[in-house]
Amino acid sequence: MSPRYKLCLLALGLGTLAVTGCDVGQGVKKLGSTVVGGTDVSGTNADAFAVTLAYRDPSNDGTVTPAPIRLVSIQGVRGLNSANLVNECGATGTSCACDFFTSSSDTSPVTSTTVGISSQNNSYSCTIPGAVAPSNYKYVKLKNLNNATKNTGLINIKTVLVIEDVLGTNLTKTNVRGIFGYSCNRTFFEGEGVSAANISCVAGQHLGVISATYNFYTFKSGVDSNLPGSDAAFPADICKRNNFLKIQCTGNTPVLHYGFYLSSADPFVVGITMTRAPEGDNLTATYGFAALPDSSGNCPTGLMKIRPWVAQPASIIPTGPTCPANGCPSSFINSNNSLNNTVVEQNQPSNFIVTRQPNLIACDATTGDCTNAQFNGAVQAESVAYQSQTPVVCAIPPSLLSGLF
Amino acid sequence: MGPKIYGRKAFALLAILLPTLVITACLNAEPKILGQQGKFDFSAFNGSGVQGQFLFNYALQSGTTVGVQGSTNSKSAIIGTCNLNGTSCMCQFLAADGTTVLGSTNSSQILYDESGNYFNCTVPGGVTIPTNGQIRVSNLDGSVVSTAMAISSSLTVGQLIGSDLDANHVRTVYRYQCEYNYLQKAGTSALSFDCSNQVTSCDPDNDSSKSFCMLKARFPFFLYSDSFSNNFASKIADKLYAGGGGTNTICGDEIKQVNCVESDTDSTDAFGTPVKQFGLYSQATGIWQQAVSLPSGPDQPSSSFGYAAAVSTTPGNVGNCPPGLIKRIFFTSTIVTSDITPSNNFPSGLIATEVADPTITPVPFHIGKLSGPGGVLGGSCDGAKCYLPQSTVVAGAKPDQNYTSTGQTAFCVIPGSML
Repeated sequence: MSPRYKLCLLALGLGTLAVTGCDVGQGVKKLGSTVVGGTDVSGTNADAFAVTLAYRDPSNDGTVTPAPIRLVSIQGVRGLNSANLVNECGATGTSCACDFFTSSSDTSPVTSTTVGISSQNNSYSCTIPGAVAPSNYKYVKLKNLNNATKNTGLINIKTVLVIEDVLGTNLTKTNVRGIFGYSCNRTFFEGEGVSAANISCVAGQHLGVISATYNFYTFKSGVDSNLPGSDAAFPADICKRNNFLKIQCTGNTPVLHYGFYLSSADPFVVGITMTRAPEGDNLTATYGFAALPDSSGNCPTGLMKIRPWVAQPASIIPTGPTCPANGCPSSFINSNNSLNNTVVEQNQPSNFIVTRQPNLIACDATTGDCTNAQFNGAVQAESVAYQSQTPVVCAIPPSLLSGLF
Repeated sequence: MGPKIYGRKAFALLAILLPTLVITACLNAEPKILGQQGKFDFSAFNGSGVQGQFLFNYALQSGTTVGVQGSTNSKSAIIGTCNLNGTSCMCQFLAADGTTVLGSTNSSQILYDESGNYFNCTVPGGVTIPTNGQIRVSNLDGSVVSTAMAISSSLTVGQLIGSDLDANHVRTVYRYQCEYNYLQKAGTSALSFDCSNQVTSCDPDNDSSKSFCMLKARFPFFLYSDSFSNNFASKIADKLYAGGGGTNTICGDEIKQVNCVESDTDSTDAFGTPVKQFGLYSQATGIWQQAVSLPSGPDQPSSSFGYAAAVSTTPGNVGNCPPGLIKRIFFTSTIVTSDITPSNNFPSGLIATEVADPTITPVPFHIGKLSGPGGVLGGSCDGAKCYLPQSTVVAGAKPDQNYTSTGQTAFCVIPGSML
């Protein structure tokens, strides 16, 4: 073999190696705590498309209803202007799109149909199109539609996250507040001597009972917490009867619903006010900060949508055979919204129910003593639909909070 | 190395250099060391070198016109480049590739609206906008050219607000109603009501046992919410007439003065449920300069809900909204009750306010009436106690009263369907 021929072979071999080794987009990236991607071959911004992970929630995979979650979220590097995905994808994300691949050798990717971007979180969301099960797609590539050489390369789509993935490197687990929900039952009355503030023991009073279950929240983090409410009695007997609890909370153990961040720090910037208990000190406080959704309404990577829902029951003025023709007065008076029930949850709760137990046997016809008064079975007085208030905000899902509290 | 370039030494050197080149060329496969380095910031430059100004948010087609909306701080650059009428610029209709020019507007086919900061570009004859067609704005000599934009047939709120404003500050405005119950009985005034037994009928049938009636009227109110705040607390569930001694009873009854939740007579009538209407921007910026004040609930003064865009005053475009926005105007009805007999506590001169399409006058304001059936069965008082009228038939107390928008100025809002 001549030297010329040897040299040609060597150059050809090394050249092939160089092309093979210089992955500008198709190679599978190794994801970790550091960044990956950044394939702006034009060289004007080496940080463009530097991302830390891609994620899809698999919780509904294999089910028909609700539909499997087809949304893939890509987390860009936080805290670095030159790595802002908005630079490449625009404020609404429409200058970019995602290609989804079933394998690293897939040459026929499908392209996202809807996209969104969050500048605060520097994350990008895109939806796997078509009817194919989203779990078939293992990789995603975010690309600039105007310059296909600008892309993230193939990013493995994670289906499991840890809390560090959503907090990034600047936020600490210690400051994550778990939000726990529980309920208390509240008791009200109806009858001739009843008003919103007190009860007069009118002779022959047709005393009845009204009750409703209200929702409250507590929080707990690595540095602080608050406590749920406890049972409370009425300040005095109810016309000689002492077996009514004004508030009954015991037995309703708070359950972890989601998490907020204790202080305002990107992307957790929206303060959420919640109520601890029906009565007591420090009832209402800012429980923490949630994130805002991106330009298409999707939450930043790994976060879940929640929103406040309010049920506003009407004041109850019962009518019926046990009341005078015009109806009984009651203490269930909601003129100042104090009897609204507010929940902060992902989905619209089932209706808020207020029940009545109308009087069966009236109080003493002479003294108004209600010791022997009896009540009918509970009937529904109101079924109130919850109405959403502020738009969706984004919280840390409970699956990422295990072991933190 | 001399002229013997194919020698053993050259071969060895090449073998060393080429792998080095390979390693150097493979930087993108490794995690990056990130820093604040020079970059090309798309938000700061656009088109051919006009810094931070000649920017557009979107292009929206409506028939043979494409509206091209300037971004928040682009007005001075657009006017400086295109003049106040826009005729120093042209709209170029592009193929889906974003570069092939299919046609351009002439001076009669382009109009710049200063107040809304947008162009109306008429599609030139012979030009058909293709699927995924694009558009750009250029000055006549082509020295200043915007980036090409997709021509949309519909918008998201993110596109409409644009890159320089935050869609989380868009306020959704809701409408709901509260039903007021006014007491009608001979001798009643706006400030007083007693439990006396009157023999003056308040029912159209003149039955004197029906001497206590209820006038019912629904007033519209509005709420807003954005990602950071809302005024939903202004919506009360209801309000009871306050009796003497701080009680909530009047002549022995708890009577709702206002009900903002649901009908007393029809549980399916959800007049108190807030219904989405349109959107405003929460801050005065860019085209969002016209403050909109609305009443949020009973006993609440009107307050600012946010900012709308103004309708155009540009000749040839007067009264139109920026592309994608819709026109709304205040309609009011001054409620006259002084002619309703017998006397009642419904003040005359209250004003009901609606916000509607200028071409669609709201349904006239209606005052209904509950009466009877008579005596202790309902609809009378006995000197100590009153028996609430029980009729479920709500008759009109007087002819309905019309709304008018006379003297009002229209404004432009975000369509509710976009929110």
